[in-house]
Order: sequence, then C-alpha cells, then structure tokens
Amino acid sequence: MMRAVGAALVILGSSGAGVAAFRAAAARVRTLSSYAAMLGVLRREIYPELATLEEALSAAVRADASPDFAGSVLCGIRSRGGADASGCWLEACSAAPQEIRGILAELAPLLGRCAAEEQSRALEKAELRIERLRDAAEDERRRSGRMYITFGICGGAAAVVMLL
Amino acid sequence: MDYFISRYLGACELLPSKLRLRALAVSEAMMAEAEEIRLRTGRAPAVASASGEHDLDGPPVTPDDILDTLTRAARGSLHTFAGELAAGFLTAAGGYRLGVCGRAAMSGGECVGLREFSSLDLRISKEVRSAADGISGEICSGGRVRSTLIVSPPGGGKTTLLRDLVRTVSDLGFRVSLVDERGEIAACSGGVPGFDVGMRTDVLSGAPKAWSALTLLRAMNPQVLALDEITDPADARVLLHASGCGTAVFATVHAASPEEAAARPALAGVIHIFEKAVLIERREDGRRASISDMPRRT
Repeated sequence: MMRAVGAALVILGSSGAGVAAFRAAAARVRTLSSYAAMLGVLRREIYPELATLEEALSAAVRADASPDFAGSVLCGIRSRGGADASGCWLEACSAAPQEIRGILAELAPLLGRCAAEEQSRALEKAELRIERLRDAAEDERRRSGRMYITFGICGGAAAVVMLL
Repeated sequence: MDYFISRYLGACELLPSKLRLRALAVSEAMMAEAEEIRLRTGRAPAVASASGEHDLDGPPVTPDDILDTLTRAARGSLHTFAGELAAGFLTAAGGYRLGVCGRAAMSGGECVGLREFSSLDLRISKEVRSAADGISGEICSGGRVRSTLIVSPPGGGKTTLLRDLVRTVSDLGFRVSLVDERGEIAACSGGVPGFDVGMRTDVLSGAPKAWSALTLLRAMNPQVLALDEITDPADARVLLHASGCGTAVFATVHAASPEEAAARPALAGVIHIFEKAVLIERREDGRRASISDMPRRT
C-alpha cells in the first residue's frame, strides 16, 4: 500500500514539475505577445492617426495590450504634465522582462520627439524583434512541453516499476 | 495672484527646468508686463515686453532647450503637431502660442516640417475682459452688428481685442462663430474654451481659416463670423461669401492704419464689407483702441 502511494506521489510530482515549467513557458509567450501587441497599437495610433502618446497608450490599455507597462508610462506622463515622456518610458522599462528591456529602451529617445513615420518604423522594428523572440519562446514551449510530458511519464513509469 | 503674473508662470511651466528657474527669477513687475519669452540658440533667453527685450542671466540657449520646450508644449507628442510646426507654430494648452524657426524640410515646393530648431517665441496670451468696452457700443447697436476690421501693427493686441469683442457680442445674444486656426483666441482644450469667448460662441479650432469659415457658415448659421489675421486672398473671399449670407464679420489685419489695410491687394475686393475699423495704437501709457468708419478707396 505504502509503495503504491509512493508511486502515485512520484508520478504526481514529476508531472507537476513538468506542468509548472510548461505554464512558465506559456506565460513567457503571452507576455511577449502582449508587448508586441502594445507596440503594434502604438505604431498604428501614432501613424497614420497622429495620436498623442497619451492617446496611443490609452488605446493600448483599452486593447489590453501590455496594460501594466502602457498604464505605467501613461501615469508618468500625466503626472508630469506631458513633460519627459522619454523618462517615463525608460522608468517603465525597468519592470519589463529582461530579454526585451533593451529593445524597449531604444524607443525612449524617439517616441514623441521625431516624425510620426520615423517613430512608426522604429516601433515596427521593435515589434518584429519581440515577435521573433515570442516565436522562439513558442517553439521552446512546444519542445519543452513535449520533453516534460515525456520525462514525466517515463519518470513516473520508472518509479512505478521500481517501487512496485 | 495677479492674473497677468499667473499667465507668465503658466508660460514658464513650458520651459525646461534650468530655463524655468531663470525665468522665475525676474521681478513681479516684469512678469506682469511680459508679452513673450524668446529663446535663440547661442544667445541668452529674453523676456519681451512693451519696453523691449530683457536678457536673462546665465548660459546661452541650446538647441535641446528649444526641443525640450516644444516637446513639453506638445505634451510629449511632437508628431501630433507636425502640421502646425510645418506652419511655424504650435499652440500649447492654455492658449500659449509657440512660434518656431529652424531648418525647413521641403517637399514638392511646400514646407512639410521644421527641424534643427534655432529660435522660439513663446507668446503669453492674456484675456482682457474690458478690452472691447469702448468700441462694442458702436459695433453693436440698433439690434444689429456691424462688420469690423481690427487693425494694428504686430504685437498690438488684435487677438486680445477680438476675443473680448466676440465675448461681448456673444453675451449680448448674437450667435458668433469663431475661427480659431491656431487655437490662441479661445484656447480650447478637450472641447472647452480656456478663455471666455461668450455664451453663444461656437469655436472651430485647428483648421485653415477659409475652410473653417465656410464650414461654420454652412453648419452653425452664425450672425457673426470672427477670425484672426487675414493675409490670404482665399480667406478674404470667404469673408465676401459670409457678408453675402448676411453674416457680420470681425477680422484682424496687420497694418499701421485702416487706410493702409484698405490698400492691401489681398483685401482689395473685400474691404467694402467692413463698416467699421478699429485701430490699436501703442502709447507710453499703454494700448488704445479707436473706432471709425472704414475708409473707402477712391
């Protein structure tokens, strides 16, 4: 009886570890997708709509595209009366995932300070870079998902064989 | 706090912090008198008033100072104001107008943008609620409004007088449509006028004057159409159209006298619609507006 319970616990443990890793990989994909979507909203709002940064960020929040980041920049800009949008963007970057912090930070000196087309091009480039990272993360998630499932099943089966 | 000083302090809020501290160091008398804050790269910033320009102590203005001022005025979104900047100005919240110079980017013979900003003129617009007191009686009597041309040299206070005339006539019960191309007459923000332009005034901001005037005539059925600074023959033609519709017109023009204004080619075909001329003169004791019948060309 004790062996059976031990085998069940080993199976559950190894499956749980696999599921947790799988969920972390899925969360990473969602986060990257959300940032890419935010940049897409900003790009479309700034050009051709010529929306202000405040309006563009509000649109991103409404579209649920990385609302925490967009909301944080928006609050910063509003609290400073529209001044230092670059500084607000940079401050928000510090809370972004490490792997895209640099990509986002490169946009800080451009947003709101140069022609709309130029900003649009820079946003599109950053969006594509994040989408590539997201695609890689998605592949990684699939691969690791299969691997964790295989490990979980094999590990559990091995434990069952050894314990029973 | 004195209203004029508060307007100056509002203008200072648009400056980068280092320049703001220097601008705030001037006397209260100068703050109250100030009409403009001028930034020129490589030169000291200056506060301009009726008595001339007064340089502020400290290091010269840098190109970044001008860009930062513009960015603050644009609430961090210069691209949104690209059209206005290509025309050489930007109107910030509160009706502060920033005129800019720099290097023009040309396309197809037209200026499509300005860059490498070299000068900035931050105009401190002020609401003077009694400005039209001495002239409104003649313009508006017997239940009708007379078309009026306001004339003065640059910086004479035409916009201030027009704003108060619009407010007065509007509050007397006439429907006024106000063309506010540069947003400095009514200073609308979020659809709400920052200056009092009267109870029955409809404002169309940000669009070229001729288009705005025609739109207002079609859409708002105004009894009075008001617009600032007639320089283009297309604007003058619209005034003719308005007059033909039975709408009185208030307009302003840069000139030293009504006779000089009447001789302008751009106004030649339209001057006859104006019944009254208001001349603003700067004197040592301040500005003075005098009203007369519009002179006719012979």
